Amino acid sequence: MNSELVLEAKGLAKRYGAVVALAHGDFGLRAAEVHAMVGDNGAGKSTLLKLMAGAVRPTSGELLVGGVPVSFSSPRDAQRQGIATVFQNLGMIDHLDATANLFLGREEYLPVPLKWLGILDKRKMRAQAVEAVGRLKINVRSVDALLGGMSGGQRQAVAVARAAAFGSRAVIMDEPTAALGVRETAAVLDMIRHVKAQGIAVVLVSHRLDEVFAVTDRITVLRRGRTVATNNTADVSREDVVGMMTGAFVPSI
Amino acid sequence: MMSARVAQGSQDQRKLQALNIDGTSSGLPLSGARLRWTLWIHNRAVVRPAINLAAAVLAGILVQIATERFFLPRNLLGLFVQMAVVAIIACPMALVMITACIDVSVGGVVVLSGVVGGLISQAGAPLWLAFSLATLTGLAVGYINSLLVIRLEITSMIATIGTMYVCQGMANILTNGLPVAGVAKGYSSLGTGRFWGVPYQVPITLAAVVVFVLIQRYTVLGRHAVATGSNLEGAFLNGVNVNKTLTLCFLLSGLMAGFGGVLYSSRIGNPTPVMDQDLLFQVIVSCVVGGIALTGGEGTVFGAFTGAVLIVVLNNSLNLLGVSTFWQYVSLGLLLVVAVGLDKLRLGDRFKLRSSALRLRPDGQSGNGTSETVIESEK
Repeated sequence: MNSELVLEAKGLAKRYGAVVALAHGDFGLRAAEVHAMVGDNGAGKSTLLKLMAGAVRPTSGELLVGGVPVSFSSPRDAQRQGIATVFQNLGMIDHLDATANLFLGREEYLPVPLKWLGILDKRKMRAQAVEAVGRLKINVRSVDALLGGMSGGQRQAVAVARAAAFGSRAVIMDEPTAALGVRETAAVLDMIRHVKAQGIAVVLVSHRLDEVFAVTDRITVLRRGRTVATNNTADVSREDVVGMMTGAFVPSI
Repeated sequence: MMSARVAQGSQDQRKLQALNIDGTSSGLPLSGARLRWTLWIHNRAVVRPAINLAAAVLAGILVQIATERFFLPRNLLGLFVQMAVVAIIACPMALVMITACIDVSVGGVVVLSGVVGGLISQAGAPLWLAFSLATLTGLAVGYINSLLVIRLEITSMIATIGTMYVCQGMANILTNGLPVAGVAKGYSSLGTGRFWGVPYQVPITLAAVVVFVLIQRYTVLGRHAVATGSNLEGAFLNGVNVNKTLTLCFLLSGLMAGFGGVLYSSRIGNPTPVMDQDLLFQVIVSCVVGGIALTGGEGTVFGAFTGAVLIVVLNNSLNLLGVSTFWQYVSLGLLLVVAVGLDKLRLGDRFKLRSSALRLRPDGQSGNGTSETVIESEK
C-alpha cells in the first residue's frame, strides 16, 4: 500500500526543436513521502517538474496519476487530479490578499443561481483559509493582507499552503527555499513535514543538499536530461549524490 | 547584531505568532483601529476615490459661492447627461485596464454603433431593434479585440488602435461621411428623455456603476482580472483561465461602448460618423485619475467613476464661471498630471510602504519578523 505510486513519469521527454531539454525522465512518487529531485544546472529538473505540473506538454513518454495515464494540457488539469505545484518566484499575485491567492483558480462560489454569475463565496473561502493556515502552522499575519506587503518567507508560506490545501495527492515544490533566509528556510522545511503528515506526497526540487538530506525519504538524481538513479535517502551519502550529479559516480542498480 | 534579546524571543513567542493568523491583535506593532487606519490611508483604492469626490464637492461649493448656480437640480442632473457616456464606458475600461490591457477602440465603436443604429432605424426598423443591434455591434468589436489580443498576441494598445480606425472608417463608408438623416422620430428619446424630470442618463449611469462595482468586487471575473493584470504567468500557472478573463473584459468593454454609441447619438439626435477624440481620452483619464495603474492589477471600478465625476464637475465649474472651453483642456491635462504626480510623491512604492507601516513599532524599533532571521544566523 505504501509503495503505491501516486505520480509516475515513465520515459518522459521534451524537445524544443533540436534542443533536448529532457531526454528520458523516470520518476516515481509514493504516497506520503518527501521525494527530492536533484541535479546540476541543465540536468532537466525544471523540465521534468513542468511536465509533471502540467505547465508543459511532453514530446514523448507517459505520465500516470494513481496508475492511470493522464495528459495535462494546463496546470488546471494537474490541479484537478490533485497535483499542485509551487513554482519558483512565480505564481503569487501581489495585488490580491492571502485568501484570494490561496483559492486562485479554485474559487468557491455561492449556490447555483448565483454561481452561474460567477459570484464568489468570500466568507467560506476566508474561513477555509484561516483553517488551512492554522492546520499547516503557517506564520502569516493575516489572511486578509495583500501578498505584495509580505516578506519572502510569508509569501512562500502562502504558496506552500495553497499547494498543500489543493494538492490532495501531491505537492511539487520548485526550489521553495532559494530566496529565503535561514529562519524562513527552516519554516518552509517544517511546513514540508506538516504536508507529509497530512498524507500528501511532496516532490522537492532543490540545490541545497543540506535540506534534501534533512527532510526527504528518497532522492532521485538527474544528469544531462536523464534520470540516473533513485535511492532511499538513508542509503546514500552526500558524496554519492554529488558524484551522481556530476557523473563521477555511476551507480550499479 | 542589534539586540540578542530579541533573538531569545523564545520558541513560545514564535508559536504564539504562528497562531496569530487573523492579524488583529498580538505580534503586530500597530493594532486595532490604528492598524486599520494605517492600511486604509495607504490604500490607493480608498484614497483616490475619496480625494476625487472631495475635490468635486469642493469645486462645487466654490462655484456655488461664486455663481449660485452649481447646486441647482437642473445643473446637477445635467452633470449626469454630460458624463453618462464617459462613465458607462469607464466602468468596463477599468476592468480592462486592471488586466493590464487597454481598449482604445471604444472611441471608434461609439461612432460605428451610433451610425449602425441610425441606419437600421432609417430603414424603418423599430427603435428597440436598432438600439439592440447597435449595441451588439460594439460587442462584436469587443470580441474581435479579444481575438487579436489573445490569439494573435498583439499588444492591446496596438490591436485596439487598429480596430478603432477600422470602426471609424466603416462608419464613414456606411454613411458616405454624412450624418444619418431620417431616423425614426423617437430616436432621440433615450438621450433627451426624462422620467419625472430626471434624465434617463441618471438611472443608466448609476445602474452601470453598480453592476460593474458588483462584478469587480463579488465575481470571479473581478478577482481573475486583478490576477491577470498583476502577474499574467503566475495567474496562468495557478489555474486562472487568463484567456477567458481577457475575453470577458473586452466583451464588456465593447458592449458598453456600443451602448454608449447609442446613448451618444440619441442625445445628439442624428448619428454622425465623426469621432469625438475627447470621449476616448476622458474615459482613460477617468480611470487613471480614479487610481487605476496602466501596469495592471490596481484600482477599482468605483475609483474610475469618481474620476469621471471629477472631470465633469471641473468642466461644468469652468463653464459656469464663464471660462473658455480651451481652458477645460488645460484643466483636464493638469488634473491628470497632478493626480498621478501627487500619488507618486505621497505613496511611492505602495507595497513597501504598507509593509513598513506594519513593521514600524510605536517605540521606533523595527518589527519582529526580519530581525530574528539575522540574529539566528549569527548564532
